[in-house]
Amino acid sequence: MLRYLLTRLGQALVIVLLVTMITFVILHLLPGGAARATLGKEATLAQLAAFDHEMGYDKPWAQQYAMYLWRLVQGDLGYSFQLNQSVTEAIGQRLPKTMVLSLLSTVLAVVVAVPLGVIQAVRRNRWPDYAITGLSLLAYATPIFFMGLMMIILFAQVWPVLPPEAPQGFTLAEVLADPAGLVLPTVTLAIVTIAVYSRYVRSSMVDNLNENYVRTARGKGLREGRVVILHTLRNGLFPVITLLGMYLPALFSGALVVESLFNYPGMGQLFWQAALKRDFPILFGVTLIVSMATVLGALVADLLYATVDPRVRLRAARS
Amino acid sequence: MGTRFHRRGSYVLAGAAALVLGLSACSGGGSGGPTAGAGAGQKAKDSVTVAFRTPNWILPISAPGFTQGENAIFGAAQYRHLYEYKLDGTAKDNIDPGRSMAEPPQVSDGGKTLTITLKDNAWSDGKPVTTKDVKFWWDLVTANKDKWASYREGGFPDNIDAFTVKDDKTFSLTTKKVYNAAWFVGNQLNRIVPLPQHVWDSGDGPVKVFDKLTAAAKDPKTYATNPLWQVNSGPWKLESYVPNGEVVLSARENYSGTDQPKLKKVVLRPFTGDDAEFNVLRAGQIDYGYLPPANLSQQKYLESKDYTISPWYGWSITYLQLNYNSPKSGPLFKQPYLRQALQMLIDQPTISKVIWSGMAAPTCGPVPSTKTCAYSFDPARAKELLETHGWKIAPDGQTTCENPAQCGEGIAAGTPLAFTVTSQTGFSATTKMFAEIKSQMAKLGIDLTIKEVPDSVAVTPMCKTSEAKCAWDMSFFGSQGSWYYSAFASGERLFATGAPVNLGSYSSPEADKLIEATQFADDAATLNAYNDFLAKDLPVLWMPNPVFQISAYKSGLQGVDPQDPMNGMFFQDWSWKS
Repeated sequence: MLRYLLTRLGQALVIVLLVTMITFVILHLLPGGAARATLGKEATLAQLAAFDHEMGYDKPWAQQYAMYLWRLVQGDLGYSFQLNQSVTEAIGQRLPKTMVLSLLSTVLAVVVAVPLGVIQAVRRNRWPDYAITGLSLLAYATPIFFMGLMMIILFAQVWPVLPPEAPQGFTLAEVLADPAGLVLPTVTLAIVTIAVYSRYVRSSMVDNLNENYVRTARGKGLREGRVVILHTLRNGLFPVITLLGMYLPALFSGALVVESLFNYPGMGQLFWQAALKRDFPILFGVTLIVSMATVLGALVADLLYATVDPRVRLRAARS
Repeated sequence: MGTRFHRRGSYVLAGAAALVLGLSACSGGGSGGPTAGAGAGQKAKDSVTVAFRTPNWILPISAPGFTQGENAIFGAAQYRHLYEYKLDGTAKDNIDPGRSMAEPPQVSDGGKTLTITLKDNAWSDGKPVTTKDVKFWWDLVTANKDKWASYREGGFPDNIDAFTVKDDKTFSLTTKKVYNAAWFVGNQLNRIVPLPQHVWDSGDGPVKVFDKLTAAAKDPKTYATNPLWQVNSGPWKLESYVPNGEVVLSARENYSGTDQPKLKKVVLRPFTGDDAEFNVLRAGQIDYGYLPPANLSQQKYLESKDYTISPWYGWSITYLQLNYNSPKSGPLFKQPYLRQALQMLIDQPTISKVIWSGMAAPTCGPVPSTKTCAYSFDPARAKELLETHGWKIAPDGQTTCENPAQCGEGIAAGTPLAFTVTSQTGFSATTKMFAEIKSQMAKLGIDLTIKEVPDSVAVTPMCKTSEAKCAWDMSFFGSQGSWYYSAFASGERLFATGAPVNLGSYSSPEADKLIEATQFADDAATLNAYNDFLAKDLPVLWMPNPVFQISAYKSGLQGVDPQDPMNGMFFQDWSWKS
């Protein structure tokens, strides 16, 4: 297992390195310079040149990339001129906000979607199944922007029981101190996820409920609830594990639309604004973190598979 | 069996619902609840919550990259400029006597010496504001002019021969040439900000001191705690500051100016975008915000929610930049008849009224107050101009040059009239405006391709014909106005040959002469002559000039209007109706 882990971590490192390299090239191929985007139309040529020199943009690409990697090794992600902040600080400020929102919405989505999927499977082709399927498809088809807007209009304006914006603090404590502010963005983000997860759980449960081991369990006289929850659900959760693994990067990358709607400056907003203003240090920093989260997510999903399914462990041991 | 399972599922669902409801029930003490926030609604009559981008520069010497409007307002709230201006025509050289820290300058020595006397003002620590504080500013910018965003070669401080301190209250500036006093007062003296010399001057010399101050300004998280920023001259002091977050200003009790703050606190709240701001505005949770142009149809709704909607007109112009150095389009743009024809295809009054819903007005020349346009919308005259200059018009097709001798120098036979406009994304009115212009041009066979990018300035740089980056034809960056002037609307930075913001490299000896006259001839007629010439010569295509912002503020808030055309915000004038 340790060897497997080390191999996967080595692969992850290579992938992250490749991602930074590709990002670096793409960003430098963008038309227009970072200096003009940062300093504005009033900047003189001398000021533009001074900016490029200070940021190292006047050096050849290869040298810039090597310098970036060297600083990275030293834990220095660089300085954002646009924000007047170090990249580490900027990311450190937004990451907790993004993680709180993503985690809450994921937990809510799983807590709601799994029972919904199970109910649909158990009651398949009957009215609960049709009703939930209809609602899921509606939720999935509704643009998240529209969904959020409806939430705000309904619960902050027509029936003003919740605030229209998310918590405005930046520390974890400040964010959690305003739980009411988290409700609308969390629910908005969770609704689409619920629709997706419940469909996967339903499909997987329907397959598993027809398996021989389920028939055997029923034949042994086990109660239906026990058969469904203890025997079938464990196997039925495989797709959710895959989805959760794929979802891990979202914990770090943020949800741009929800952040924009609910005035919640998280990682999505940070990346978007940086892209608009050619804030290269921020773009590199966020890309690095998200790519690391992506490979880590895939790794975690594999490890979870092994935990849930003994056959995976067996295959790994044999190989 | 099924019922048991159904119940269990219901329990889980109920649990999830409880999680959500539990979160919502715990709202007490939160900062963002409907009834929370220091300035929410009119409940707190001594504070105001303002939609405002988080400023990120505190040092009142602007650095390149930190010249955004929010930084200027944030700075001026804490550190007063030597002179403030108002453009209502009531004061000489537009100096606002109430807000300025000095008496208007006395000009002598044939116009070369300006003697300035400070009024009685004090720093927040009680020390008087003296000429040492002005000299300290002078020394810092003189020794570090390349790091000062407002520095232009040949301008302040290069154009000063001597800075002489006469006593604690009086100093004089002797210029190298005789300048137009209105220009010098409006566009040079506006930069002076007395700085607390007794606190900031560590005696290490202006270069080291400047570096120390810059380093401190590059650490925004310490803005509210660093002792350097605690001594100020403005009506407001910084109470709390969160980088990229909320900023709170509180009224200074011992402020020495005549414009005393009437509120105790101003909360500056940033928003992630127009939608977030508008949602909060609709919910009535900010006292002063803005109505995004895309949501203008909601004006009545906001008014019904006790908001006043007030367009904020800027001292600005809007234009479509032409690239005279473009290898393809440059020779075309150099033909005055062609510029005139293109201008005649832009229906500014209709675009302003219909597309901008009345929140824009035609630009007719380089000086914002110009009311009559030299070239009104006239497609028939535009067609005639092109035909008489050798162009074969192909309506809804491709117009080409038929007679190169008439078309003009550098234009070959068969050259099409086809241009690409690099415009801005994110502004629906801008998109519609160019769709209308494209349609008008197509009627004369002029092919206009519209390319929208997030930052049009960044991809349409000033360039030489030989450079690859010079391929752009037209650039638009005026969705919120292309250019905002200082008090004196001269064009040395925009339309003079080689000027820093002359992105299209327009060059005209006559224009240069007239621009120079506005700087050096002490005659009000020079500005008119300059304006008249450029209004007709069309260095750029004049475009509808949108308002700076459509402000929306609680009707109980007074003192907001009139809004400063030079984009200042004077929170000290604001108060709640009792």
